[in-house]
Amino acid sequence: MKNLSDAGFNRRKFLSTSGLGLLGASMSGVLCNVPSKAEAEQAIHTFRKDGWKAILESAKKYPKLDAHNHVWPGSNAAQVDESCEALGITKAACSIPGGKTVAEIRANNDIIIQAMKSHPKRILGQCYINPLFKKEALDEIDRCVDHGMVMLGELYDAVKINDPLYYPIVERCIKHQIPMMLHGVTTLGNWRPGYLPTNPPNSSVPEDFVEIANRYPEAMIICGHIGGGGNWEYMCRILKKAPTLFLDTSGSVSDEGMIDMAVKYLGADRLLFATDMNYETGVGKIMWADLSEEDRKKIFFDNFNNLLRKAGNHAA
Amino acid sequence: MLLDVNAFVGHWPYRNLRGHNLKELLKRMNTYGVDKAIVSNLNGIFYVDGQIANEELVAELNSDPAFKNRFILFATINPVLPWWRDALETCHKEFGMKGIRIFPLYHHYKLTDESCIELVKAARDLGMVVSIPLRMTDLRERSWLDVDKAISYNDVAALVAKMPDAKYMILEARITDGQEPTTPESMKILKEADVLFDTSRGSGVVVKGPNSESLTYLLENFGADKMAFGTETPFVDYSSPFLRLGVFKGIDENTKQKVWSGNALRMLNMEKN
Repeated sequence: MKNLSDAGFNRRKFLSTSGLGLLGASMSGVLCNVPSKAEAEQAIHTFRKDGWKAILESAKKYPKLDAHNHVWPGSNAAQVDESCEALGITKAACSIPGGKTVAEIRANNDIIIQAMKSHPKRILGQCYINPLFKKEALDEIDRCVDHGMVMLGELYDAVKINDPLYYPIVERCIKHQIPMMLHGVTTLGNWRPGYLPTNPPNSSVPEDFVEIANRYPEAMIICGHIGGGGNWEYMCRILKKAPTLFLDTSGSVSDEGMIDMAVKYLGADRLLFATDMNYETGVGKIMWADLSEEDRKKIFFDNFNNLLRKAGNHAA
Repeated sequence: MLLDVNAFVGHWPYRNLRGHNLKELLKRMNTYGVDKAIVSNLNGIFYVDGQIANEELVAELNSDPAFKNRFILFATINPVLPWWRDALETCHKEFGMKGIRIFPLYHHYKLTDESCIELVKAARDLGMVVSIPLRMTDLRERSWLDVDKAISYNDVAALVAKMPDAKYMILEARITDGQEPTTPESMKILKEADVLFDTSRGSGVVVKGPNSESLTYLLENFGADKMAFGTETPFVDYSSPFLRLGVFKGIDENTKQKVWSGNALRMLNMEKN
C-alpha cells in the first residue's frame, strides 16, 4: 500500500484521486479534470490516508439549501440548526405535516413560524395545509406567506395532488409565486395491486404529479424525496413526462446510482438538494453522484434558490 | 486505521450495482483511506450451491497481488445444504476465511433452527466470526421477488441465547420502521455477548425520526466497544457512511478509533497492520 504523500503526486493527480476530483471510478469530469486512463488505473494502487476527511471538508464547503426538512420532537429547531451546521447546510425549509383540525394545522404552522424567528439564518418556513378544508386552507396559505413562509410543504396524503381539490391551492401558489412540495410515493403496494400498501391509498404516485404539473405548467411543484423509500427508478421514468416538475433528493435511501439516474432522466436543473432529516445521506448521495461541478452546485443550491427568487425569498 | 465490516462484491438480481468487484472496491477504499474491508460474494445468496460463490471470491482475490492484504474474506454458508460442513472447513482451512455471513430469510430457515445453531457452533469452534445482515435493502423499495421482512434484534438474540460464546457482527444495524420492539431480555442477551453492531444505518447528527436513528442509540444501548464502521457498499453511496461517523460527536476521537477499526480487529484477532 502506498501513501499519497510518498507517491510523488502533483496537483492534477491529487485532484484526480481525491474527493474533489475522483470518487471511485464514477467521478471523472469533476472540476474539468478528467483523469487519463493510466491515472485512473494508478488510483487503484494509491492510498489516501484519511481521504474521507478531505471529502467531508469539501462537502461542507458547498453552499446548500435544504428543500425538505422538518421541525418536530425528534429534531427540534435547535437540533436542525446544529445538524445543518455539521454538514454545511446553509438553510433548511422545514414543515410540520399533519393536524386533524384547522386549529391543529394552524398551531403546527405557528411552531414553524416560531422556529423561523428563533433561527432566522437557518430555518425557512414551509406551510402545511389540508385541501379538504377548502377556504381555511387558502386562508392559511395567505397567513403563512404574510409571516414569511417561502413555500407549501410537506403536503401529505389527505387527497392526491391531482385531485380537483388541489386546483385552488396550486392557483394560490402561482399567485404568490411560491413552490409547493408534496410527499411522493412509489412503494410497491402503492402502485402494484395485490401488494400491501405501506403508504395510505390517497398518497400521490408519480403519475399524479405529472397530471397536475401538466395542467399547471407555470406552477413550481416539487415531488418529495426520491429516496423516501420506494422504487426510485419508477420516479425517474415517470416524472420525466412533466418537464416543469421538480424532484427533491431527500430520504433515507441513498442507493448507488439513484441520483445519477435522476440526472439522466430529469436533468440536473430539476433536482433540489434536500435531507428530510437524513443529513449525512442527504449530502453524501450528492457528493458521490457522477456530477459535473456545475451540476453539483445547481443541485445543492442554485436550483432551489432560483425557485425562491420568484417571490424574492432567495438566499443572498 | 479504517476497517469496513460491511462490504460485498457480486451481483444483485433486483437492480444494477456499481463498484461490485474487488478492483472497483479497492479504488473506493484507496480514495477514502480504508485500509481493509470484510467482503463476501452476493452470488452466494442466490446460487443453490453457495460454495461456488466462495470459490469465485477466492479466485478474484488471487487475481491481483494488490488485493491480498486489503480484503478479509467471509464465506457465505447456507446450513440447509447437506454439504455445509465441508464448505465451511474448506473456506476456513484452504481459503483462510475469517468469518461467515448467513442469510436465513433468503435461504429459508430460522436462526434458531438446529442446522443454524450447528453452523454457528462449528464457526465458533474454528474461531470464525458470524456476521448477520438484518436486511439487504430497504424493504420499501423491494422487488416483488425479494423477501418482505427483516431480521430483528429479537431474532438474533434468540440465536445468541443458544450460542452465547460465539462472535457476532450485526450488519445494517438500526431500528427500522415497523420492526418489532426489542425486548428487555433480548437487549440483556446482546449486551452480554461478543457482538459488534455496524454503523452503516445510523445518523451521526442528533436526530430521531421515522427513518432516522442516531448512532447515539447504539452508543447508549450497547456502548462504543460494540460498534464497528460499515459502509454497506456497493448498495448505497460510498460517501455517507464516512460522513455519519465523521460528524458523530458522541465519543472522542480516541474512542472513535475503536469504531473505525479497533473493535473489529480485536474480534478478528488481527493486528493493526
